[in-house]
Amino acid sequence: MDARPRTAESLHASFVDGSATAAEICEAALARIASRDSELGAMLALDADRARARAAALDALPDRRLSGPLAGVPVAVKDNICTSGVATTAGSRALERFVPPYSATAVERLERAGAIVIGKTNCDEFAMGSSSEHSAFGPVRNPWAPERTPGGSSGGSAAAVAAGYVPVALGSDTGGSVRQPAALCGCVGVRPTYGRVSRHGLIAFASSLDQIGTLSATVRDGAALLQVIAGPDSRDATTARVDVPDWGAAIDGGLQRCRVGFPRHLMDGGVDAEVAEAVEAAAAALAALGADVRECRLAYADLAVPVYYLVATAEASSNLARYDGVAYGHRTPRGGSLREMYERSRAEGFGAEVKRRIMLGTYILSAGYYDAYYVRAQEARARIAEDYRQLLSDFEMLVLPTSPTPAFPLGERLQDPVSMYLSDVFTVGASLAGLPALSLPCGATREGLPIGLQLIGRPFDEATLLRVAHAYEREAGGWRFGPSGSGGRGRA
Amino acid sequence: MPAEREDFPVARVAALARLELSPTEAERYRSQLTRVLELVGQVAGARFEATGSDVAHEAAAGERPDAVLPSLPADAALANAPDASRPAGLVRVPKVIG
Repeated sequence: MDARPRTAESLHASFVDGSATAAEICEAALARIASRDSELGAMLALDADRARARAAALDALPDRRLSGPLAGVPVAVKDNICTSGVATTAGSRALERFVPPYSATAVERLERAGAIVIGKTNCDEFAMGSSSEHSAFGPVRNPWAPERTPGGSSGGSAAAVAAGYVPVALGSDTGGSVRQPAALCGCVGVRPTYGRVSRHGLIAFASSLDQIGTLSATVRDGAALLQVIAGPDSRDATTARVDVPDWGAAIDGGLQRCRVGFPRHLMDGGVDAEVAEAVEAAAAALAALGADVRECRLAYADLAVPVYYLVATAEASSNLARYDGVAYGHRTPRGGSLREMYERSRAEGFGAEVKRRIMLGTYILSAGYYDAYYVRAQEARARIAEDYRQLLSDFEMLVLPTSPTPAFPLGERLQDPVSMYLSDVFTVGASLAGLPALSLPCGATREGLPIGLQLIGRPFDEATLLRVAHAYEREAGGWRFGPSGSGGRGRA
Repeated sequence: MPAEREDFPVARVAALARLELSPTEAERYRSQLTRVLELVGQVAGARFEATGSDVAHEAAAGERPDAVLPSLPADAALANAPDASRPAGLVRVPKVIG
């Protein structure tokens, strides 16, 4: 079998037609990880024995055509998504020895579809970060430029796809944690509509915002992965009882007369010139493909980052109260009273960014500040959601940059939380409004760093995003192997 | 209404959040979070008209029967506890009653 990275679609086809065994596919993925991950740090745990056993079971099936839509496809899973019997740390010392007794619904559905879970990917601690540097187990490096970050918090999943370890991976997106690393690593990232994918087994950060999403080499691969994990789940009451369409069947539909809004004003300040240039060119390319692209205005866009950091940290301070050293997770060896045990266990278990967010959230929920911050943030959030609702009644989707800059150097924003938070300026809006959004590559800087284009759609209309993204991807030259020869991938 | 340019009250908040901080950490967080408050503070001073919009697509979410379903066996639930008595089905914590 050809050992170079391939798409999930191609690997599954080879498995079904017998030109490759699941064992060969699995070994090729493990070999690529072994050859490069000491440099990149994208993987926190490999599950090689179980992956090989699953591959062997797939190869033993009497009829491979009945083996599931992702049969033979190796998948990596972000380490804040529970995997039964496999350590799940969320990038935190607090959960360093935590082994979940159950798998997330999304993981169960992947395995039922025949996918082979290869291992767990590194991430910012509890998914709090935009650079994957806030992991207790070391930073992730960008496969395109290892002295730079892959973005975050799903940086390990994005790097695993960009480096060709696996064609598809699961991530989670609270304020952009799938889309921004997808942009910085040159892959496709989908944040589905809030309620589209079950969060049962996703370690909670901010429950009104968290969504499991996909990272993939191609739009079609992303659609295939999303197809498998989407749909209602009785174990997550926030999943929506909405039909899941056949996204793969509709993906070739093209974009004739699709009404696309372009809030160009967002790029007026603080956006890297090469990013702005690439996004302008992408909007023009969509128009050339037949879309009706018109300028529009997001009136409350400048409030999105402050509102996001108020809502998300308030929810985080509540969700992370459970890490008290009692039922699971780190307990201090220093002893003390019950209260001292709580305070010491949490001090030793959490890293700096998590402590910052817990304290900010605790502050804004505290007496005397709740109305001024939390209540006001909820009002502003509703206003932002209404802003999107009105625009998306005129347009089928919006197009804007995913990130204001390409991948930035490791360490550059680590001691400056405000600068790091502003990395999310284009992604938090869709999160606050609960909308589906997708990032796909739209070129590269002169230095060769990937640039991402973001599409934001109507609730539960992932189909339009996938269809338009697929048409653009085809026009832009499609997916191809990268020039580095080290497992990276590029786009024409 | 919070005062403008208020220093972040690290000691009070860390106590509420059950976080032990060293003096060095406390000083670093005070400085960083004071700057973050300036960023998020623009929301505190704003006024917004009420809207009918909400992000939770409530119409789409369903209810389920109020029925008892199987849960994790006690052994599995205790397997990750830092200090547990499996035969008793309990986790141990420092004594809180004299």
